[in-house]
Amino acid sequence: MTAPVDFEHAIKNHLAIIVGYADLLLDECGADDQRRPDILEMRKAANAALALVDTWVGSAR
Amino acid sequence: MSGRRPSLLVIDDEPGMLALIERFARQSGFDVVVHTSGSTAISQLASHTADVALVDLRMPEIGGLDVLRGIKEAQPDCQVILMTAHASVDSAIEAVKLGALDYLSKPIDLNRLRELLTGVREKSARRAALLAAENETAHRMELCGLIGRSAIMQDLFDLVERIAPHARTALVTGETGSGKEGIAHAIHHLGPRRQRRFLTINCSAVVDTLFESELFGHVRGAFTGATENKPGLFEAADGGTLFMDEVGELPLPAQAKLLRVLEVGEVQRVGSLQSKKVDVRVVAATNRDLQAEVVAGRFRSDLYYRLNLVELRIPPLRERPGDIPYLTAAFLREFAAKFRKPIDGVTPGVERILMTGEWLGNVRELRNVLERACMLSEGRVLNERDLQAAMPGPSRLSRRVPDSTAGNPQMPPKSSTLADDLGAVERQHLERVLAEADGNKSAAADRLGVSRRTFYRRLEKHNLLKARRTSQDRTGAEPARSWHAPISAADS
Repeated sequence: MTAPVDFEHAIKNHLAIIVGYADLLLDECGADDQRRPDILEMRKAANAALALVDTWVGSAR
Repeated sequence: MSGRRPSLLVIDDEPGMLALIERFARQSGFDVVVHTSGSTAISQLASHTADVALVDLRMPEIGGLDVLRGIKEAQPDCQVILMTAHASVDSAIEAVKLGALDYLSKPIDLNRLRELLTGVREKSARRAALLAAENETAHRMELCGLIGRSAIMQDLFDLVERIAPHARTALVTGETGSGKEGIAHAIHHLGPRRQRRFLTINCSAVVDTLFESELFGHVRGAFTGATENKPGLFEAADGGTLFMDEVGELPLPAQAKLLRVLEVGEVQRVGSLQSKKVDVRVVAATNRDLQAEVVAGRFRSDLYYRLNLVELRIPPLRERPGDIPYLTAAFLREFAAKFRKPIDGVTPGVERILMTGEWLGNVRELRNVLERACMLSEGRVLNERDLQAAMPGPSRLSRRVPDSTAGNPQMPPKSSTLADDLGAVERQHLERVLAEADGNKSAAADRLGVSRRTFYRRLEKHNLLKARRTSQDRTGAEPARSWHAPISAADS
Protein backbone atom coordinates (compact mmCIF):
# COMPACT_ATOMS: atom_id res chain seq x y z
CA MET A 1 0.00 0.00 0.00
CA THR A 2 2.69 2.51 0.99
CA ALA A 3 5.10 1.53 -1.79
CA PRO A 4 3.23 3.30 -4.65
CA VAL A 5 2.77 6.40 -2.44
CA ASP A 6 6.48 6.45 -1.64
CA PHE A 7 7.27 6.03 -5.31
CA GLU A 8 4.88 8.81 -6.28
CA HIS A 9 6.41 11.09 -3.68
CA ALA A 10 9.97 10.33 -4.75
CA ILE A 11 9.42 10.66 -8.50
CA LYS A 12 7.43 13.88 -8.10
CA ASN A 13 10.19 15.32 -5.92
CA HIS A 14 12.79 14.60 -8.63
CA LEU A 15 10.58 16.04 -11.34
CA ALA A 16 9.89 19.10 -9.13
CA ILE A 17 13.63 19.67 -8.87
CA ILE A 18 13.95 19.61 -12.67
CA VAL A 19 11.02 22.03 -13.05
CA GLY A 20 12.43 24.23 -10.28
CA TYR A 21 15.88 24.52 -11.84
CA ALA A 22 14.32 25.14 -15.23
CA ASP A 23 12.32 28.00 -13.70
CA LEU A 24 15.47 29.39 -12.07
CA LEU A 25 17.36 29.27 -15.38
CA LEU A 26 14.46 30.92 -17.20
CA ASP A 27 14.50 33.67 -14.56
CA GLU A 28 18.21 34.18 -14.99
CA CYS A 29 18.49 34.19 -18.80
CA GLY A 30 17.25 37.11 -20.83
CA ALA A 31 14.21 37.03 -23.12
CA ASP A 32 16.37 36.59 -26.25
CA ASP A 33 18.77 34.05 -24.74
CA GLN A 34 19.37 31.22 -27.23
CA ARG A 35 19.13 28.56 -24.51
CA ARG A 36 15.64 29.62 -23.56
CA PRO A 37 13.75 27.26 -25.96
CA ASP A 38 15.87 24.30 -24.72
CA ILE A 39 15.10 25.05 -21.09
CA LEU A 40 11.42 25.39 -21.95
CA GLU A 41 11.55 21.92 -23.59
CA MET A 42 13.06 20.39 -20.44
CA ARG A 43 10.44 22.03 -18.29
CA LYS A 44 7.63 20.94 -20.59
CA ALA A 45 8.82 17.31 -20.49
CA ALA A 46 9.14 17.30 -16.71
CA ASN A 47 5.64 18.75 -16.32
CA ALA A 48 4.30 16.12 -18.74
CA ALA A 49 5.96 13.41 -16.62
CA LEU A 50 4.34 14.87 -13.51
CA ALA A 51 0.93 14.74 -15.22
CA LEU A 52 1.61 11.11 -16.16
CA VAL A 53 2.39 10.25 -12.55
CA ASP A 54 -0.89 11.86 -11.44
CA THR A 55 -2.83 9.91 -14.09
CA TRP A 56 -1.11 6.68 -13.10
CA VAL A 57 -1.70 7.27 -9.37
CA GLY A 58 -5.34 8.17 -10.08
CA SER A 59 -5.96 4.97 -12.07
CA ALA A 60 -4.11 2.86 -9.45
CA ARG A 61 -6.50 4.08 -6.73
CA MET B 1 16.17 49.54 9.51
CA SER B 2 18.69 46.91 10.55
CA GLY B 3 21.40 45.61 8.22
CA ARG B 4 20.70 42.01 9.17
CA ARG B 5 19.56 39.76 6.32
CA PRO B 6 16.44 37.79 7.14
CA SER B 7 17.06 34.12 7.77
CA LEU B 8 15.42 31.13 6.07
CA LEU B 9 15.54 27.59 7.37
CA VAL B 10 14.88 24.85 4.77
CA ILE B 11 14.16 21.29 5.82
CA ASP B 12 13.74 18.58 3.14
CA ASP B 13 15.11 15.06 2.92
CA GLU B 14 15.87 15.60 -0.78
CA PRO B 15 19.26 17.39 -1.19
CA GLY B 16 18.40 18.49 -4.74
CA MET B 17 15.38 20.36 -3.45
CA LEU B 18 17.46 21.98 -0.68
CA ALA B 19 20.03 23.20 -3.22
CA LEU B 20 17.33 24.60 -5.49
CA ILE B 21 15.58 26.54 -2.73
CA GLU B 22 18.85 27.71 -1.19
CA ARG B 23 19.94 29.20 -4.51
CA PHE B 24 16.58 30.85 -5.08
CA ALA B 25 16.31 32.27 -1.53
CA ARG B 26 19.83 33.70 -1.52
CA GLN B 27 18.93 35.59 -4.67
CA SER B 28 15.91 36.94 -2.78
CA GLY B 29 18.14 38.35 -0.05
CA PHE B 30 17.92 35.63 2.59
CA ASP B 31 20.56 33.92 4.69
CA VAL B 32 19.80 30.23 4.25
CA VAL B 33 20.37 27.26 6.56
CA VAL B 34 19.45 23.81 5.20
CA HIS B 35 18.80 20.49 6.93
CA THR B 36 17.94 17.06 5.52
CA SER B 37 16.49 15.94 8.84
CA GLY B 38 13.72 17.53 10.91
CA SER B 39 15.14 16.38 14.25
CA THR B 40 18.56 17.93 13.56
CA ALA B 41 16.87 21.15 12.54
CA ILE B 42 14.77 21.28 15.72
CA SER B 43 17.74 20.48 17.94
CA GLN B 44 19.58 23.46 16.47
CA LEU B 45 16.71 25.90 16.80
CA ALA B 46 17.98 27.03 20.19
CA SER B 47 21.15 28.45 18.66
CA HIS B 48 19.74 29.66 15.38
CA THR B 49 16.93 32.15 14.99
CA ALA B 50 14.99 31.94 11.74
CA ASP B 51 12.48 34.44 10.37
CA VAL B 52 10.89 31.82 8.13
CA ALA B 53 11.14 28.07 7.61
CA LEU B 54 10.27 26.02 4.53
CA VAL B 55 9.50 22.47 5.60
CA ASP B 56 8.78 19.37 3.55
CA LEU B 57 5.64 17.66 4.78
CA ARG B 58 6.73 14.11 4.08
CA MET B 59 10.09 13.09 5.48
CA PRO B 60 11.19 9.64 6.64
CA GLU B 61 12.29 10.32 10.22
CA ILE B 62 10.02 13.02 11.51
CA GLY B 63 7.11 14.48 9.57
CA GLY B 64 6.67 18.10 8.51
CA LEU B 65 3.73 18.71 10.85
CA ASP B 66 5.82 17.64 13.86
CA VAL B 67 8.65 19.87 12.68
CA LEU B 68 6.11 22.71 12.38
CA ARG B 69 5.02 22.10 15.99
CA GLY B 70 8.64 22.02 17.15
CA ILE B 71 9.47 25.29 15.41
CA LYS B 72 6.38 27.06 16.73
CA GLU B 73 7.25 25.91 20.23
CA ALA B 74 10.87 26.99 20.06
CA GLN B 75 10.38 30.16 18.01
CA PRO B 76 6.76 31.29 17.93
CA ASP B 77 7.65 34.27 15.73
CA CYS B 78 9.14 32.10 12.99
CA GLN B 79 6.81 31.78 9.99
CA VAL B 80 6.54 28.26 8.63
CA ILE B 81 5.69 27.33 5.04
CA LEU B 82 5.00 23.68 4.32
CA MET B 83 5.63 22.08 0.95
CA THR B 84 4.72 18.70 -0.42
CA ALA B 85 4.85 16.63 -3.56
CA HIS B 86 1.75 14.81 -2.39
CA ALA B 87 -0.77 17.50 -1.45
CA SER B 88 -3.93 16.58 0.41
CA VAL B 89 -6.73 18.72 1.77
CA ASP B 90 -6.44 17.15 5.23
CA SER B 91 -2.76 17.87 5.68
CA ALA B 92 -3.23 21.40 4.33
CA ILE B 93 -5.98 22.13 6.87
CA GLU B 94 -3.93 20.60 9.67
CA ALA B 95 -0.91 22.71 8.70
CA VAL B 96 -2.90 25.94 8.73
CA LYS B 97 -4.47 25.02 12.06
CA LEU B 98 -1.00 24.56 13.51
CA GLY B 99 -0.10 28.06 12.40
CA ALA B 100 1.59 27.50 9.03
CA LEU B 101 1.83 30.62 6.89
CA ASP B 102 1.13 28.72 3.67
CA TYR B 103 1.14 25.31 2.04
CA LEU B 104 2.86 24.89 -1.31
CA SER B 105 2.71 21.91 -3.62
CA LYS B 106 5.73 20.74 -5.60
CA PRO B 107 6.87 21.71 -8.15
CA ILE B 108 6.99 24.91 -6.23
CA ASP B 109 5.62 28.00 -7.91
CA LEU B 110 8.70 30.19 -7.51
CA ASN B 111 6.70 33.39 -8.01
CA ARG B 112 4.43 32.45 -5.11
CA LEU B 113 7.46 31.58 -2.96
CA ARG B 114 9.05 34.92 -3.86
CA GLU B 115 5.89 36.74 -2.73
CA LEU B 116 5.86 34.89 0.58
CA LEU B 117 9.54 35.54 1.24
CA THR B 118 9.16 39.22 0.36
CA GLY B 119 6.28 39.47 2.85
CA VAL B 120 8.37 37.90 5.60
CA ARG B 121 11.36 40.11 4.80
CA GLU B 122 9.26 43.27 5.00
CA LYS B 123 7.73 42.17 8.27
CA SER B 124 11.15 41.41 9.72
CA ALA B 125 12.42 44.85 8.64
CA ARG B 126 9.39 46.51 10.22
CA ARG B 127 10.00 44.63 13.45
CA ALA B 128 13.66 45.65 13.45
CA ALA B 129 12.67 49.29 12.91
CA LEU B 130 10.13 49.05 15.71
CA LEU B 131 12.69 47.53 18.03
CA ALA B 132 15.14 50.30 17.23
CA ALA B 133 12.41 52.85 17.96
CA GLU B 134 11.66 51.14 21.27
CA ASN B 135 15.32 51.23 22.23
CA GLU B 136 15.34 54.89 21.36
CA THR B 137 12.31 55.43 23.59
CA ALA B 138 13.91 53.43 26.37
CA HIS B 139 16.97 55.61 26.05
CA ARG B 140 14.87 58.75 26.27
CA MET B 141 13.11 57.34 29.35
CA GLU B 142 16.34 57.50 31.27
CA LEU B 143 18.37 60.48 32.30
CA CYS B 144 21.61 59.72 34.11
CA GLY B 145 20.04 56.64 35.70
CA LEU B 146 16.73 58.33 36.50
CA ILE B 147 13.74 56.53 35.08
CA GLY B 148 10.60 58.29 33.97
CA ARG B 149 8.35 57.35 31.12
CA SER B 150 5.45 59.53 32.22
CA ALA B 151 4.89 62.84 30.45
CA ILE B 152 5.47 64.71 33.70
CA MET B 153 8.96 63.16 34.11
CA GLN B 154 9.77 63.58 30.42
CA ASP B 155 9.06 67.30 30.82
CA LEU B 156 11.33 67.39 33.86
CA PHE B 157 14.14 65.58 31.96
CA ASP B 158 13.75 68.04 29.10
CA LEU B 159 14.05 70.95 31.49
CA VAL B 160 17.12 69.43 33.18
CA GLU B 161 18.79 68.93 29.80
CA ARG B 162 18.01 72.48 28.75
CA ILE B 163 19.19 74.20 31.95
CA ALA B 164 22.18 71.95 32.73
CA PRO B 165 24.63 73.75 30.41
CA HIS B 166 23.71 77.20 31.72
CA ALA B 167 22.20 77.46 35.20
CA ARG B 168 24.46 78.71 37.99
CA THR B 169 21.95 77.83 40.68
CA ALA B 170 18.97 75.52 40.73
CA LEU B 171 16.39 74.52 43.29
CA VAL B 172 15.14 70.96 43.28
CA THR B 173 11.93 70.38 45.19
CA GLY B 174 10.17 67.13 45.89
CA GLU B 175 9.03 64.83 48.62
CA THR B 176 11.45 62.64 50.50
CA GLY B 177 12.76 59.77 48.38
CA SER B 178 11.62 61.28 45.10
CA GLY B 179 15.14 61.53 43.67
CA LYS B 180 16.34 65.09 44.29
CA GLU B 181 19.99 64.08 44.52
CA GLY B 182 19.62 62.12 41.27
CA ILE B 183 18.42 65.25 39.50
CA ALA B 184 21.31 67.22 41.02
CA HIS B 185 23.74 64.61 39.65
CA ALA B 186 22.06 64.84 36.24
CA ILE B 187 22.45 68.63 36.21
CA HIS B 188 26.13 68.18 37.06
CA HIS B 189 26.80 65.46 34.50
CA LEU B 190 24.97 67.16 31.67
CA GLY B 191 26.67 70.49 32.29
CA PRO B 192 30.14 71.81 31.44
CA ARG B 193 31.46 70.89 34.91
CA ARG B 194 31.05 67.14 34.58
CA GLN B 195 34.82 66.58 34.91
CA ARG B 196 34.98 68.59 38.13
CA ARG B 197 33.93 67.70 41.66
CA PHE B 198 30.39 67.12 42.84
CA LEU B 199 30.16 67.63 46.59
CA THR B 200 27.18 67.12 48.84
CA ILE B 201 26.19 68.66 52.13
CA ASN B 202 23.09 67.60 54.00
CA CYS B 203 22.08 70.76 55.80
CA SER B 204 19.97 68.88 58.33
CA ALA B 205 22.97 66.86 59.48
CA VAL B 206 25.25 69.76 60.40
CA VAL B 207 25.31 71.36 63.84
CA ASP B 208 24.14 74.99 63.60
CA THR B 209 27.39 76.42 64.94
CA LEU B 210 29.51 74.53 62.42
CA PHE B 211 27.63 75.51 59.26
CA GLU B 212 29.74 78.46 58.37
CA SER B 213 32.97 76.60 58.98
CA GLU B 214 31.74 73.64 56.89
CA LEU B 215 30.62 75.79 53.98
CA PHE B 216 33.22 78.53 53.95
CA GLY B 217 36.13 77.11 55.96
CA HIS B 218 38.01 78.73 58.83
CA VAL B 219 41.45 79.98 59.73
CA ARG B 220 43.55 78.80 62.62
CA GLY B 221 42.39 80.28 65.91
CA ALA B 222 39.05 81.44 64.55
CA PHE B 223 37.30 79.57 67.37
CA THR B 224 38.15 77.08 70.05
CA GLY B 225 39.27 73.90 68.37
CA ALA B 226 40.23 75.58 65.10
CA THR B 227 43.81 74.40 65.31
CA GLU B 228 44.61 74.85 61.65
CA ASN B 229 43.40 76.49 58.47
CA LYS B 230 40.66 74.55 56.75
CA PRO B 231 38.99 75.20 53.42
CA GLY B 232 35.19 74.97 53.32
CA LEU B 233 33.05 73.03 50.87
CA PHE B 234 32.78 76.01 48.53
CA GLU B 235 36.53 76.15 48.09
CA ALA B 236 36.71 72.36 47.73
CA ALA B 237 34.01 72.40 45.08
CA ASP B 238 35.59 75.30 43.17
CA GLY B 239 34.93 74.79 39.47
CA GLY B 240 32.40 72.06 40.23
CA THR B 241 28.99 71.61 41.81
CA LEU B 242 27.87 71.79 45.42
CA PHE B 243 24.65 69.95 46.19
CA MET B 244 22.98 71.38 49.30
CA ASP B 245 20.35 68.92 50.42
CA GLU B 246 17.58 70.05 52.77
CA VAL B 247 18.57 73.68 52.28
CA GLY B 248 15.46 74.69 54.23
CA GLU B 249 17.31 73.62 57.39
CA LEU B 250 20.05 76.18 56.89
CA PRO B 251 20.18 78.63 59.86
CA LEU B 252 19.54 82.30 59.03
CA PRO B 253 23.13 83.58 59.54
CA ALA B 254 24.46 80.93 57.16
CA GLN B 255 21.72 81.85 54.66
CA ALA B 256 23.02 85.43 54.55
CA LYS B 257 26.55 84.24 53.85
CA LEU B 258 25.37 81.76 51.23
CA LEU B 259 23.51 84.54 49.44
CA ARG B 260 26.69 86.59 49.34
CA VAL B 261 28.65 83.71 47.84
CA LEU B 262 25.99 83.20 45.19
CA GLU B 263 25.82 86.89 44.34
CA VAL B 264 29.49 87.91 44.30
CA GLY B 265 31.20 84.53 44.01
CA GLU B 266 33.45 85.12 47.00
CA VAL B 267 33.92 83.22 50.23
CA GLN B 268 35.46 84.38 53.45
CA ARG B 269 36.81 81.76 55.82
CA VAL B 270 35.59 82.14 59.38
CA GLY B 271 38.05 84.35 61.21
CA SER B 272 39.63 85.72 58.04
CA LEU B 273 39.24 89.15 56.51
CA GLN B 274 40.35 88.01 53.11
CA SER B 275 37.87 87.03 50.44
CA LYS B 276 38.53 84.30 47.97
CA LYS B 277 36.94 83.94 44.54
CA VAL B 278 35.10 80.69 43.98
CA ASP B 279 33.19 79.44 40.99
CA VAL B 280 30.66 76.92 42.24
CA ARG B 281 27.35 75.83 40.84
CA VAL B 282 24.88 75.38 43.67
CA VAL B 283 22.06 72.92 43.37
CA ALA B 284 19.84 73.20 46.43
CA ALA B 285 17.12 70.76 47.34
CA THR B 286 14.29 70.76 49.80
CA ASN B 287 11.22 68.77 50.69
CA ARG B 288 9.79 71.76 52.53
CA ASP B 289 7.58 74.43 51.05
CA LEU B 290 10.24 77.15 50.94
CA GLN B 291 7.73 79.84 50.09
CA ALA B 292 5.88 79.05 53.32
CA GLU B 293 9.21 79.10 55.15
CA VAL B 294 9.82 82.57 53.72
CA VAL B 295 6.39 83.74 54.90
CA ALA B 296 7.08 82.28 58.33
CA GLY B 297 10.36 84.20 58.45
CA ARG B 298 12.53 81.10 58.61
CA PHE B 299 14.03 81.45 55.16
CA ARG B 300 15.42 84.60 53.56
CA SER B 301 13.26 85.71 50.68
CA ASP B 302 16.25 87.10 48.72
CA LEU B 303 18.01 83.73 48.99
CA TYR B 304 14.83 81.94 48.01
CA TYR B 305 14.44 84.03 44.86
CA ARG B 306 18.11 83.61 44.07
CA LEU B 307 17.86 79.82 44.36
CA ASN B 308 14.60 79.34 42.54
CA LEU B 309 15.68 81.11 39.35
CA VAL B 310 15.36 77.58 38.07
CA GLU B 311 13.01 75.36 40.03
CA LEU B 312 12.80 71.69 39.24
CA ARG B 313 9.85 70.00 40.90
CA ILE B 314 10.00 66.23 41.08
CA PRO B 315 6.50 64.76 41.23
CA PRO B 316 5.82 62.18 43.94
CA LEU B 317 5.58 58.59 42.75
CA ARG B 318 1.80 58.50 43.27
CA GLU B 319 1.45 61.18 40.57
CA ARG B 320 3.19 58.93 38.05
CA PRO B 321 2.07 55.35 38.73
CA GLY B 322 2.75 54.54 35.07
CA ASP B 323 6.48 54.66 35.85
CA ILE B 324 6.22 52.01 38.56
CA PRO B 325 6.54 48.98 36.21
CA TYR B 326 9.67 50.49 34.61
CA LEU B 327 11.20 51.37 37.96
CA THR B 328 10.32 47.89 39.21
CA ALA B 329 11.98 46.26 36.21
CA ALA B 330 15.12 48.36 36.65
CA PHE B 331 15.34 47.63 40.38
CA LEU B 332 14.73 43.91 39.81
CA ARG B 333 17.59 43.81 37.31
CA GLU B 334 19.83 45.64 39.75
CA PHE B 335 19.04 43.47 42.77
CA ALA B 336 18.89 40.17 40.87
CA ALA B 337 22.46 40.91 39.79
CA LYS B 338 23.49 42.11 43.23
CA PHE B 339 22.16 39.04 45.03
CA ARG B 340 23.00 36.68 42.14
CA LYS B 341 19.42 35.47 41.85
CA PRO B 342 17.58 34.48 38.68
CA ILE B 343 14.64 36.87 39.37
CA ASP B 344 13.25 38.24 36.14
CA GLY B 345 9.72 39.37 36.89
CA VAL B 346 6.86 39.81 39.34
CA THR B 347 3.46 38.11 39.59
CA PRO B 348 0.40 40.10 38.44
CA GLY B 349 -0.64 40.29 42.12
CA VAL B 350 2.65 41.94 43.05
CA GLU B 351 2.34 44.32 40.14
CA ARG B 352 -1.14 45.33 41.33
CA ILE B 353 0.06 45.89 44.88
CA LEU B 354 3.00 47.97 43.68
CA MET B 355 0.80 50.00 41.35
CA THR B 356 -1.78 50.83 44.02
CA GLY B 357 0.64 51.50 46.88
CA GLU B 358 0.71 54.99 48.35
CA TRP B 359 4.54 55.16 48.40
CA LEU B 360 4.91 58.02 50.85
CA GLY B 361 8.64 57.35 50.69
CA ASN B 362 8.48 57.53 46.88
CA VAL B 363 11.09 55.89 44.64
CA ARG B 364 13.44 55.27 47.54
CA GLU B 365 10.74 53.33 49.39
CA LEU B 366 9.88 51.30 46.27
CA ARG B 367 13.56 50.55 45.81
CA ASN B 368 14.05 49.50 49.43
CA VAL B 369 10.97 47.26 49.41
CA LEU B 370 12.12 45.57 46.18
CA GLU B 371 15.63 45.17 47.50
CA ARG B 372 14.34 43.35 50.58
CA ALA B 373 11.90 41.30 48.49
CA CYS B 374 14.67 40.24 46.10
CA MET B 375 16.85 39.30 49.03
CA LEU B 376 14.08 37.08 50.43
CA SER B 377 12.81 35.64 47.15
CA GLU B 378 13.74 32.13 46.16
CA GLY B 379 12.05 31.87 42.78
CA ARG B 380 12.40 33.36 39.32
CA VAL B 381 9.36 35.53 39.86
CA LEU B 382 8.77 37.80 42.83
CA ASN B 383 5.48 36.79 44.47
CA GLU B 384 3.09 38.36 46.97
CA ARG B 385 4.67 36.48 49.87
CA ASP B 386 8.13 37.86 49.09
CA LEU B 387 6.65 41.34 48.88
CA GLN B 388 4.62 41.09 52.08
CA ALA B 389 7.68 39.89 53.94
CA ALA B 390 9.61 42.87 52.58
CA MET B 391 7.06 45.42 53.72
CA PRO B 392 8.03 47.27 56.88
CA GLY B 393 5.06 46.83 59.25
CA PRO B 394 1.68 45.23 58.63
CA SER B 395 0.44 47.55 55.92
CA ARG B 396 2.98 50.25 55.42
CA LEU B 397 1.69 51.05 51.97
CA SER B 398 -1.85 51.50 53.15
CA ARG B 399 -1.49 55.06 54.26
CA ARG B 400 -4.14 56.35 51.97
CA VAL B 401 -5.10 59.12 54.36
CA PRO B 402 -5.57 62.84 53.93
CA ASP B 403 -2.57 65.12 54.43
CA SER B 404 -3.83 66.47 57.74
CA THR B 405 -3.24 63.07 59.27
CA ALA B 406 -0.24 62.10 57.22
CA GLY B 407 2.27 60.04 59.08
CA ASN B 408 -0.25 58.29 61.30
CA PRO B 409 -3.21 56.61 59.63
CA GLN B 410 -4.85 55.91 62.96
CA MET B 411 -5.15 59.53 63.96
CA PRO B 412 -8.21 61.60 63.12
CA PRO B 413 -7.89 65.08 61.60
CA LYS B 414 -6.14 67.59 63.84
CA SER B 415 -8.95 70.11 63.83
CA SER B 416 -11.54 67.78 65.37
CA THR B 417 -12.64 67.83 69.02
CA LEU B 418 -11.74 65.15 71.52
CA ALA B 419 -15.23 63.65 71.33
CA ASP B 420 -14.98 63.53 67.54
CA ASP B 421 -11.59 61.94 67.80
CA LEU B 422 -12.70 59.22 70.16
CA GLY B 423 -15.82 58.59 68.11
CA ALA B 424 -13.76 58.25 64.94
CA VAL B 425 -11.30 55.92 66.59
CA GLU B 426 -14.16 53.82 67.97
CA ARG B 427 -15.80 53.61 64.58
CA GLN B 428 -12.54 52.59 62.97
CA HIS B 429 -11.97 49.92 65.55
CA LEU B 430 -15.50 48.52 65.14
CA GLU B 431 -14.99 48.41 61.38
CA ARG B 432 -11.77 46.55 61.67
CA VAL B 433 -13.01 43.98 64.17
CA LEU B 434 -16.12 43.42 62.09
CA ALA B 435 -14.03 42.92 58.97
CA GLU B 436 -11.70 40.52 60.75
CA ALA B 437 -14.72 38.50 61.88
CA ASP B 438 -15.90 38.36 58.24
CA GLY B 439 -18.95 40.42 59.16
CA ASN B 440 -20.10 37.99 61.86
CA LYS B 441 -21.42 40.32 64.57
CA SER B 442 -21.56 37.72 67.35
CA ALA B 443 -17.95 36.81 66.75
CA ALA B 444 -16.96 40.46 66.59
CA ALA B 445 -18.82 41.17 69.87
CA ASP B 446 -17.06 38.20 71.52
CA ARG B 447 -13.73 39.45 70.35
CA LEU B 448 -14.43 42.89 71.84
CA GLY B 449 -15.68 41.34 75.09
CA VAL B 450 -19.09 43.04 74.91
CA SER B 451 -22.59 41.65 74.61
CA ARG B 452 -24.15 41.30 71.21
CA ARG B 453 -26.72 43.89 72.19
CA THR B 454 -24.06 46.44 73.19
CA PHE B 455 -22.22 45.75 69.97
CA TYR B 456 -25.37 46.38 67.92
CA ARG B 457 -25.95 49.65 69.76
CA ARG B 458 -22.46 50.76 68.93
CA LEU B 459 -22.85 49.79 65.30
CA GLU B 460 -26.11 51.72 65.14
CA LYS B 461 -24.50 54.77 66.70
CA HIS B 462 -21.90 54.83 63.93
CA ASN B 463 -24.35 53.96 61.14
CA LEU B 464 -22.43 50.76 60.60
CA LEU B 465 -25.45 48.48 60.45
CA LYS B 466 -26.22 49.65 56.94
CA ALA B 467 -22.65 50.07 55.92
CA ARG B 468 -21.68 46.57 56.95
CA ARG B 469 -22.09 44.97 53.54
CA THR B 470 -20.01 47.57 51.85
CA SER B 471 -17.32 47.18 54.41
CA GLN B 472 -17.40 43.42 54.01
CA ASP B 473 -17.13 43.72 50.27
CA ARG B 474 -14.24 46.07 50.56
CA THR B 475 -12.21 43.84 52.76
CA GLY B 476 -13.13 40.54 51.22
CA ALA B 477 -13.39 41.01 47.49
CA GLU B 478 -9.92 41.81 46.37
CA PRO B 479 -6.67 40.89 48.10
CA ALA B 480 -4.92 44.06 46.94
CA ARG B 481 -7.37 46.13 48.91
CA SER B 482 -5.86 44.91 52.12
CA TRP B 483 -3.00 47.25 51.41
CA HIS B 484 -5.26 50.24 51.86
CA ALA B 485 -6.80 51.35 55.12
CA PRO B 486 -10.32 49.91 54.67
CA ILE B 487 -12.07 53.01 55.98
CA SER B 488 -10.19 55.85 57.55
CA ALA B 489 -11.60 58.27 60.07
CA ALA B 490 -11.82 60.94 57.44
CA ASP B 491 -14.15 58.82 55.32
CA SER B 492 -16.81 58.82 58.00
